[in-house]
Amino acid sequence: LEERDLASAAADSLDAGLAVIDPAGQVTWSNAAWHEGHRSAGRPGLETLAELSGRARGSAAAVIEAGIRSVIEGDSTRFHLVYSTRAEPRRTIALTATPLRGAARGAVVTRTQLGSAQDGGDLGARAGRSDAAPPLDRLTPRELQILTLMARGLPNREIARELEIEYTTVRGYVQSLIQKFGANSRLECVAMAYRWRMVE
Amino acid sequence: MRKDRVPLGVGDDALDVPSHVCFFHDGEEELRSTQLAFLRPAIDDPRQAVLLFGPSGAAEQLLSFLEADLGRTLSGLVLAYRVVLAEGDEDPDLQLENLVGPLRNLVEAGHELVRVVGRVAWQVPNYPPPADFLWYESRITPLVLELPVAVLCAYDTGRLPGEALAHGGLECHPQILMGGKISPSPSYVPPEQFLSRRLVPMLNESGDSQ
Repeated sequence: LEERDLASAAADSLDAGLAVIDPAGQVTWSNAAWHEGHRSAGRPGLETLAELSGRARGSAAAVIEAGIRSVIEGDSTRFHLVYSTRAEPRRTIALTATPLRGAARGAVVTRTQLGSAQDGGDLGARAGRSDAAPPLDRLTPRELQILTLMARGLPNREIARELEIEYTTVRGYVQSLIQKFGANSRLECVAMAYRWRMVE
Repeated sequence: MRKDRVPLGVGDDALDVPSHVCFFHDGEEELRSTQLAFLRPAIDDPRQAVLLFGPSGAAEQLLSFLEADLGRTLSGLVLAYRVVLAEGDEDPDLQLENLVGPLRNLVEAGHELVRVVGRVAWQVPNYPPPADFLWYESRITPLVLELPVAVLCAYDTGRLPGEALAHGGLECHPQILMGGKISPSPSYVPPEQFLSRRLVPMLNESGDSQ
């Protein structure tokens, strides 16, 4: 096999969708998972709610185009989008764009199904990465409760007071959450929870 | 003797009690003179207490400045737990405990006013990393609102980066002290909004959480 075929075969073996986007925003190459994802999920856009870090709002297509363009033009080092559809608000898909290395202008876009409340999927296995799945089904109700209070910014002692449990117990739950998310700190954990829309 | 306002000691301004104020200073000299003016009433009044706070070694340094400027040792007050030295922790929640725990103890011991000077550090060992530090700063205001305390957080404008001054100084403090004048912070973000509106977008945008 030529080097190009090897690369294509390797790309096709990945679960994550991969595509190369040219400066005009057109997909010039993509792997099997990308095609499969588009076929099963349909064209994202008409019923999609999207938000790009508060900088761009509107239809998903406009937001995605703005994000990818900002990567291609060097205004951003990366673009990450998580969206859900009105029909399936718990199903989320992540798009991440990173610039092509070398002199070529363009971006590599990865597309990953993050799972849903129904199918669960590979939850938590790759926590800590932008395209990882949220560990929703591995959280206990108490952990979810504590995560919600962490997302409100409350420190452990206030969480303990609110839930009427011991401070040290809260510390234990927070450590467990950080571990399940694969995060390095409580703030990373909260940031992931917001990104995955586990909290509002 | 719980007071609603106390003289700042610098100029004619007074501080609300409780309060959490960002003190922008340029270098050590301004820090020392303002610290001395702010803390001297507590040194001379047994109903008041002092808490010095910062990364490892910072409280001791603030104490040495104070002793040199007063011209006498304060070891007796330290032993009597009326001047308390406390330090941070790389876990921001524990750092908050290290600050608020001694404050509560001092109030429970009967002190009617606790004056706090905290020295701000950014990206130093054994201290919370920037985003964690900002969360800690944003949580001080609601916690001190329950206590008779006046907190001055010292931000050295000549040493700290812009993001520390903007997000930590202006956005986490309801008031700022600059050039001897106290004024409302023009960029204050209430603590209940700071995490979701500032920190989470910053973390997700910067890729820190990758």
